[in-house]
Amino acid sequence: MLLAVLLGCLAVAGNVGLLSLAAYLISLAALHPPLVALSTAIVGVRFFGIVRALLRYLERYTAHSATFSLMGMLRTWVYARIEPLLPAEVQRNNGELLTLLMQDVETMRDFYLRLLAPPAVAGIILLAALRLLSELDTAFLYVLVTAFFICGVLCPAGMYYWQLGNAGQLLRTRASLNGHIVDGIAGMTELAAFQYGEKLTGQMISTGERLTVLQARIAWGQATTEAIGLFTLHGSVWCVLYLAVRLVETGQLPGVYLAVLVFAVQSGFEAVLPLTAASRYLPESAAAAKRLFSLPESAVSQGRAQREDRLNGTVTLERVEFRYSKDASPVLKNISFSLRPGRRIAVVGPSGAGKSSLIAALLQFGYCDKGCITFAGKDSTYFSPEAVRELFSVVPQQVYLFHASIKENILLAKPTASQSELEAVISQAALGELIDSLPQGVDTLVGQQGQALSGGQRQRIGIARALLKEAPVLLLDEPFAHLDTLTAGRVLAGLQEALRERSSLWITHQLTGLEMMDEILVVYQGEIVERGTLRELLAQQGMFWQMWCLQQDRLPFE
Amino acid sequence: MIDKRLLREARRHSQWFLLIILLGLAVGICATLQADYLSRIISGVFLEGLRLQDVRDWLSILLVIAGGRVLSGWFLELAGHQLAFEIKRDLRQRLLDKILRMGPVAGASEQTGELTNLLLEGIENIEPYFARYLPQVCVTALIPLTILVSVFLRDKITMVILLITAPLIPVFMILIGKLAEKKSKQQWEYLSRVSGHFFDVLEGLTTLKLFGRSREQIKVIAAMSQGFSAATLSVLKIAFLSALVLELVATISTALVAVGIGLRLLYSQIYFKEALFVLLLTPDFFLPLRQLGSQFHAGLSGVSAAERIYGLLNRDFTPAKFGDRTFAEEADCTVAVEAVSFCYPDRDKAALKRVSFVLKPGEKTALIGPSGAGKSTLVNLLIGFLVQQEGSIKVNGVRLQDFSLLEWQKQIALVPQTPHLFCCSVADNIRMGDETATLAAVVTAAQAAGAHDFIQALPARYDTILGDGGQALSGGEVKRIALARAFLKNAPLLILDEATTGLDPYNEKLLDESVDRLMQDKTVLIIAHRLSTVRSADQIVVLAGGQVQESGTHHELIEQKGAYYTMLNGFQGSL
Repeated sequence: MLLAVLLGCLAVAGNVGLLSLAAYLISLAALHPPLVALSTAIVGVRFFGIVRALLRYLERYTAHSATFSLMGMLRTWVYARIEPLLPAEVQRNNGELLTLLMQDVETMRDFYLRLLAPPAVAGIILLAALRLLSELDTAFLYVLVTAFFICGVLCPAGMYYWQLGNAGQLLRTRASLNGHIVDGIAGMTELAAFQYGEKLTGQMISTGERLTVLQARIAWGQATTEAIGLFTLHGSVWCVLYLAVRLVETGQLPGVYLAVLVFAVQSGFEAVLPLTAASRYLPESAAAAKRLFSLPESAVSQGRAQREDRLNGTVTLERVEFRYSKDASPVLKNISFSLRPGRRIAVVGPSGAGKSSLIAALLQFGYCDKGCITFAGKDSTYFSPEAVRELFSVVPQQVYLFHASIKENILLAKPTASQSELEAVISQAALGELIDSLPQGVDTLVGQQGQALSGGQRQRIGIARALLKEAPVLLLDEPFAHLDTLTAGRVLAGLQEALRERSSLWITHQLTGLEMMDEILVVYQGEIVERGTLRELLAQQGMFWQMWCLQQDRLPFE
Repeated sequence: MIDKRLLREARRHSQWFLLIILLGLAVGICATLQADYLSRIISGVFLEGLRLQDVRDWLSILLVIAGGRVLSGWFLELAGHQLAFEIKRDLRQRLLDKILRMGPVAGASEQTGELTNLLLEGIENIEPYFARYLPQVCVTALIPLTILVSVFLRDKITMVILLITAPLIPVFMILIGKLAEKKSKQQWEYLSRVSGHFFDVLEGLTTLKLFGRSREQIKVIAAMSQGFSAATLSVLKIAFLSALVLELVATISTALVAVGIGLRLLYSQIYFKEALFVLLLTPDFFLPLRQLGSQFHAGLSGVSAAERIYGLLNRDFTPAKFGDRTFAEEADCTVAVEAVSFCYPDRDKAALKRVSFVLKPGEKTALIGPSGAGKSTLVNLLIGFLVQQEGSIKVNGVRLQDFSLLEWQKQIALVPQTPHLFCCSVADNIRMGDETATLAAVVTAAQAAGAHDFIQALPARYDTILGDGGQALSGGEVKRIALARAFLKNAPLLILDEATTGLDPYNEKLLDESVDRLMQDKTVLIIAHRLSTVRSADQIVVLAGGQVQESGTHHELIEQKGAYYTMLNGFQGSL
């Protein structure tokens, strides 16, 4: 960065040198001296003509290079900061935090590039100019300092505050226009059916107008501050000329330097004029920096990192209350059940009842303030969250696939797995046919977030991945949601083997296949309202029975 | 890079366009005059021994010219923005009209995200084209030209130098551009992959944690960032290189001009005043050319946005013709669908083939069939979003197309499968059913729909803002708001898609009760998903492959032992 500043100064100096030497050259030539007297100036002009462009090139290169390495450090720092956070903390506002961070890191580029080095260059150039001119007349100093103050401080500051004053409103107006547009497109059926189209169009147009007015106001501010800067440039050239003419008149300044001064001052403004435009990036950069540096510290500090010898799959929950973040209300209350090797527990209930939160609670993705979770008799606080997660193989509701090959995605669970281990889980998850049908087999890329595959295929890769992990407890969140009955049956058959010595917890939204469960928990509004085997629950004619009836009432196509 | 269609937009607002050209010219002339007076003053004082009082008038004029130059530049920028605003407003309105006229069916072929993006970002991308790129093109054409003419009058040799070096700039730009294009394309691909990877890791953080692999990613990201900056730099290097060439041409020409006139001055082939004038204008001559390079991107994104905007605007679309008959107040509604066939324009297989049935007042008709059977096409025909190619739909004995479409749609209350909530308050969302309704009427409708209780629990009750970015509601709650709309509208024909809300017995019961209330005394078409609904219907229409397989009451159809019977029997096992 320092090198960039230095090169920036030299580039400006090169420009000043080129133009003032050129002016000196022709002024001198006008006095008709011998050619020899001009030769130094001629060489100088040619030298600066070439060097100035090269310096600018080098300056751009170093500034960008420094910026990118700073951004790399920032990116790593951000990740290291996010990594320990709980998923619920990261996924807040539908993952908005992530998007913001990505943009924020990018935004900082403008800060490093346009707001860090250029003001330093301007300052150094001003000091150098003052040093050179101080020998002539102090009046020059006043002119230059005032001009640089206007261009380098007043205009950018004015621009900044102008921008700041309108930015919030601009953001809100854009958001509201965006909302109207989404309404107009996604809600087109309702618009027509309820004759709402014209009204919405009216709203859209008036919001668009408001946006235009705001943008015009901002554009006006930009144009005006830039015009002020330019006028300062021409004005100070004029002042310098005026002063110099007086000096020439009194004989304090040789006439040869008259043109030189004008050119030098004019070209020196190259250092300070871009600052106004750069200040446009200030509010955004400041906001980005604020967000980045106020990233929450992870609040989870429990658990001394302990690596126990292989725990078996015995997990017991007693009267557990669970919440996703410290200030949220609990999503689970008074939950008790226990998992044992070979035992299968199903969790059913309406959507939003808290089924998936059970898995989050087991994985320590939140706060369990009341009750206790024990692993093989030892309290969960005894283990580090990492050690706890080692116990579980999870098939989440939405399997996340990385933009890599199928094989790499599965091997994530166990990078050292052998070919035969890989093949075993592939056949257990009924993926064999799919993989054989792909030209590149297991090396096929799955696309961004696995978009090249169907929901069912993603889910089966998730199952294969979970099986490869060989953890004693299997947690499945609606594992067959995207599978047809036939495939689901095949996957289930493949799972039997794995289920024999592991404990398993199944979340399901379809009340099928419940015969094979040792216990069914009916969750409603965060609590277990009924429990038992399928036969017991149906006999009870309670909540489960009602759900069962609803399911039977459904027509056989959807 | 001068897009014809965009230029045509500019011509619609020719007064602004003309102003931009005039102001560009004014800036050029001011720059020339400024150089003229500067050289006059300097030369006078330096060589002719003029004193301050002798040049005082010139100095004042110089100040005025400088002011004029700045003012013209200022106006030029404002005019550019104004032109951009006018055009943006125009295009936005035309796009909106087009999209709304295309309606939900033709509009549904476009992706929602794509359309939203076009209306927001696409339109915004037009701005830099008119606000910056186009004025810059004018300025680039006008200022060097003005300078060239004035230099020609003073010193022809310099003009020749400028004339020779200036075209070098575009030539070099094109040469480097061609060289760079291929390389930068490869690099950008790599870049987007790397930045995608970073995003991938963040998005998949939970998964990484599940497998205990999240911490090692810190190192991976550091390494990736390094590769990222190296790749970006190598792309930028090309951009820097073209800037280097531009500046090199400009500075070397300035040096050439300076040395040339210096030598001629030495041998008295030129006056100092003229020489100074030429030297003053040389940097100004190259500046606009260099600035055009930096606005190139603004031009490019404008043109690519225009491509998408005009792609949509120029799409063929002729709305169906409707008549102007109106309905009597409080009229009942009998709808007869008679041998209706419909085929989407871009498909060969008909979506509906000779479909017939009658909807009668006070009767409930259940429409069932697998997805793709033609249920939504049928609904779209009934609402008037589509018009059948064969057969007819008659309302109270009159062809549907003879009515005014707006009047007809006022007769329908629609509850779609996934209702859309708009970005406004709960009350206004319900009020879509009847814009003039009082709050009391809205509350009554909400109560009838079983929505009042949960609305009362919302942060601002009926004033809570819903929709994109507003309060999020559950599926069952959204459905109840849609029912409230239908209650408020109180139209004679009710079209309802009965999507179930999952396994929530409490919600399901609430919805059932409200739907039953809503259906009373109306002509009802219900797209059924549940056996109990079908059982209680007065008529069941079984649709498959675009054809009516059979119709009748539950008992009739069971007796017939046709498609309906097999379907239920095969799945249910028992009835």
